[in-house]
Amino acid sequence: MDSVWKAVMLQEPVDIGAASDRELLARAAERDDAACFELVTRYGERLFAVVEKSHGDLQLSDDIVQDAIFRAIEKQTQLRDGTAFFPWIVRIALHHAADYRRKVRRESLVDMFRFGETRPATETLCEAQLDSDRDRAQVRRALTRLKPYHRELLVLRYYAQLSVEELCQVFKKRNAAIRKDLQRARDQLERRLPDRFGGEP
Amino acid sequence: MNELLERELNGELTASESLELNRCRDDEVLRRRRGWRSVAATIAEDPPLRPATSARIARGVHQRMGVRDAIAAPGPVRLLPWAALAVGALTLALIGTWTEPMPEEQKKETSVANEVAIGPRGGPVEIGVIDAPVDESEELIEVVF
Repeated sequence: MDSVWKAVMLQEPVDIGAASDRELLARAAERDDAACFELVTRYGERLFAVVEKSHGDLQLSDDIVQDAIFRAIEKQTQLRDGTAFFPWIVRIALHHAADYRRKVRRESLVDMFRFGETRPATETLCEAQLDSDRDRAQVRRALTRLKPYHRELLVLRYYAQLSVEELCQVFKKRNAAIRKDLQRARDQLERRLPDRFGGEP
Repeated sequence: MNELLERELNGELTASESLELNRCRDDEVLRRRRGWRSVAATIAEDPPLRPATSARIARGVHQRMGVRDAIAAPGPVRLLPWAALAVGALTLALIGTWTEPMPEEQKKETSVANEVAIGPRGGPVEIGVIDAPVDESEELIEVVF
């Protein structure tokens, strides 16, 4: 299997890079490995980051992302707007994440989320880096305590930088509803980060 | 002013609205604005705990495709049940077409032979002459128990 992928990665097809998402999907569905790899290169890491931040589990995030891309290729005809591939695949991934959450509901969710993990000990960290890591861990922990939907909204808005319109596509909600939900999510996060919002103006 | 702040946080502020918000000196708005600038930056700059590599994701997708292809039956095998049904239906139709009404004489022979073969108590029956032509005027059938 590795040799197959090495061979695919060594190929540099000229037209693949310029192909649209819809073309890549169609070609990947026809078992074009280069098209599949290009699709993963364009969106895989960004999607992984979104899922990992909103879901929290590294191993499951891997599975969720791989499943989501596989499903997207299988159901490529269902993509209505070719320019909205990322919101569409995020939607698929978040559905998968919700399925996984339901499966592990009886287990401790707190254990499942590993927000605030420390960096590898081999890294040499300066004070500024430590402060920055502490800040990140604090925000991650606060995000963990939000409802999954609110967490997803904030991660997609502030990490993936999706617009309100794109969030509407992801969650299949109206603009006004998304704005209201964003406002609620922000209120919830503010309450969990009092020292970040309590400083002198 | 809070509405303007919400619009800014949603990334929907126009240039003129942005100027208006910048002129605002309301403590509450300034506090929230500063807080959100910091939190949004922290979220945006926070890398995943383990960076994903495209190769790993692509390998996983490829494996799923392979598994799907392996368990999916090839075309002819998928069509087998339908083919069997079609052959069955065709056979029944042909049997129906080929079955002609039995001639009157043959019907009589069959009915007499059946009467003889059943026997009085259901035990083993030896049939004497059953293939002989039926003539109602003579006793031609002999049964030996």
